[in-house]
Amino acid sequence: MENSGHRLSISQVYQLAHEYRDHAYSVASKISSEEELKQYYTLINMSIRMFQMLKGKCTLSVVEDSKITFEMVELLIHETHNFDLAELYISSLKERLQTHQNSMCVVEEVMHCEFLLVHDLPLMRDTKFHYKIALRNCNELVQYMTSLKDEVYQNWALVFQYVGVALCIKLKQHRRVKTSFAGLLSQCGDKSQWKWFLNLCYVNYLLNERFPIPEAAIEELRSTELDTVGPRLYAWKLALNMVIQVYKDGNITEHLNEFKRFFDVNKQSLVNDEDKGCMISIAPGVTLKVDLPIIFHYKELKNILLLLQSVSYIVNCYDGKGNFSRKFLPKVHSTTQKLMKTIGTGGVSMNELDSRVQTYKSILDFCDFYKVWEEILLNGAVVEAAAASSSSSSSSNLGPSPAYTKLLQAMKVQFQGGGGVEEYTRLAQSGGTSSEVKMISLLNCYTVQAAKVSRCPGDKQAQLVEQCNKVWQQVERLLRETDLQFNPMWECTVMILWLFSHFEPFSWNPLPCSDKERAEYMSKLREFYSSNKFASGGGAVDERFKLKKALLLQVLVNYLGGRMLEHDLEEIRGISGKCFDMCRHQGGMDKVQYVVGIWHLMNCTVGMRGKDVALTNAKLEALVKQITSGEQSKAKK
Amino acid sequence: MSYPGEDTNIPRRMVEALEDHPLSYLVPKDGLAALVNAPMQTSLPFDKSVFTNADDSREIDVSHLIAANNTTFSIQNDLEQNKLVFKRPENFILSTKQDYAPSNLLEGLSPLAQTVLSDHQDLVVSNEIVKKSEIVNKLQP
Repeated sequence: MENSGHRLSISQVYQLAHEYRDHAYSVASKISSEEELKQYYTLINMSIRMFQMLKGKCTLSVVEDSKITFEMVELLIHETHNFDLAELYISSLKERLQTHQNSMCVVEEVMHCEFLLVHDLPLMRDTKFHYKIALRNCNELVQYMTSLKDEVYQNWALVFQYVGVALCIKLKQHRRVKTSFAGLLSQCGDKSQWKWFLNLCYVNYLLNERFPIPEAAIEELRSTELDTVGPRLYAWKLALNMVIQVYKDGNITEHLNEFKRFFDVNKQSLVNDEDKGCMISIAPGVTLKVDLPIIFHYKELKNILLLLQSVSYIVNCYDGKGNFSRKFLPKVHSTTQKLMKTIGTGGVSMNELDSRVQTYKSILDFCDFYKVWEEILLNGAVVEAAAASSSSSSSSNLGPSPAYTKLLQAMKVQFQGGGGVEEYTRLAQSGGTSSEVKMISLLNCYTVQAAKVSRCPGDKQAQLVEQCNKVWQQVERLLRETDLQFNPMWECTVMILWLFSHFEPFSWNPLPCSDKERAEYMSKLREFYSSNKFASGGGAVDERFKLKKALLLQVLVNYLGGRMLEHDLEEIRGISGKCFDMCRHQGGMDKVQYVVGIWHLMNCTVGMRGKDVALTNAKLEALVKQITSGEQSKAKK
Repeated sequence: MSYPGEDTNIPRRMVEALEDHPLSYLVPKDGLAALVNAPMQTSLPFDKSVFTNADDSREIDVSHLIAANNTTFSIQNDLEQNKLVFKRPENFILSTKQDYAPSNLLEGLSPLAQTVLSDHQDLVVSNEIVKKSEIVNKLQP
């Protein structure tokens, strides 16, 4: 303690604070041992201490004090758990600023304090409690600033309105999110970067929650201009368009081309300055910085794009060799692992890198999950594939969320013998399940129950019918409330299942229904059938009803259409023949093929096509053998 | 008319044929939009620069990190009680190999930074690095 002291100039100390921090960030990606982790935090600690020293041992101007406090608080928030300490620093700075003679000179400083208090801190604390307090404070702040009738404050109020929306999203106050977005968007200048940025946030939020996207938002997205928003936000726009398309099982070719044209010109600007983020100018003197590494960085964007492509192609995966997803998914997997290893070229905090690794891990989980799904399509069974657990994820969970794992388990039970009602019901009723997984569960559950009704003698049906109706009500409600209604595959499936369970040729005990319902579903069948009919020289195809080449779905639509809408015998036999043949191409379709085959046999017989009758008979004989031996081996297990 | 499988219990109606065949073409896609959006970070830039004046004569003795008793600034006392607790990364995999030779990450610091650091070796030892899940339990007894 007798040290004569080590005196440094104030700017030297400030530079030291930066040097320790920047050095830590530059080595962050190399950390792989406890020892190195300690060294990293030694550097961060030194940086914080230097800032503290500047604050504690010097007389600082308000601007100096502000700058140092912001830099130090950033470290405290991102690198430590000392949130209370960070809050204390900000609050005391805010007090100092509020007593400043000329308050208009320090508006930016005050606003920065408020932003840290209602945005950065609660997001890092990440508890409902803190979000609620922050939202209340944020709303009061906006009200106060709006009441001042001063343009400077009006502009800043926009930032905090945005923060308010972000907090509502965290609190899952969906109605308020929607009205707040609407309010914010209505205040923005048309064709401005800020407005388009907000719209991107809005659309992404709606997609996350699977809410329908209003036409106005779609239109705004479409009109987003590259020159105004810059390449990064534009890349986000293209990515969202792609997700929208994938979510409705639409054709993505045109969207891929658009990306290609975009990359031809703008690739370089996404490669350079990777970690600089995107500056969004809201009003003169008011700028927000946004970083979205997975979209703003070229390599990561390409990777995500390939994942989206794979997902879009999966449904065609009934040919193990020919499908794109079989090639792309392993590629996404290996690229992601490479990205994980080469993460961070410096200048980024280890904790930021850590959260990026989290994202990479969920990409790997998605890959594993979809590989399992491919196997389902190829084999007609849930194969506990070796693909699982190949990722570095520590959990034995399949897929990126617990609900996905449970869905696979329920499907496995159904594949094994028509059960799964309990599993599906639990999944559909659980609060945390997404609307999509709920819908899949409900539809599968409905099929199983409708099959039970079909088998059941008349006097015991009442309860089963009741259950069917209950499930169906949920199906209809969910379809109304979510974006699934815009996906023709879902719409068509709902129609098919309804007809199968309400008409004589498809169930032994059709459920009762009204004429109105019947007319509604029949007209849907007409639309889907005429746009997806197997026959040659079909009429005009309505894109709205065009379905992807999902084999089972195509067979079912044609089977239904062939049976209910066709009158020409030749035409019918053509359809039934094609359906029968198609079934062979996908695994696990034996029973469907048998039902279709019986229909085809009947059509050949009526048409007096002796040769076709013999051929179909032989094929059916073989099929019967296959099914019965399969049942026996199942029973043995 | 007879047909193959007539005497078996293979389903003859479509709804029964689908009983043990989940609608596998309904591929779940939830979470992909969230992937596009994560982790998004929003911040307010503060670009004013400070301490650029060459004539600035203010000096600091950096040999003692926190000067005791000479402050009216309440945060400092608070700080002394509030030891910094650093975040332990959730996803970085630390090497568990015995023979792993860690590199010295402190290499490359300027001579001045090294000198000041060596004056405060106690900081190196006192670092506490804790996971978020652990700290939550600690702070809320």
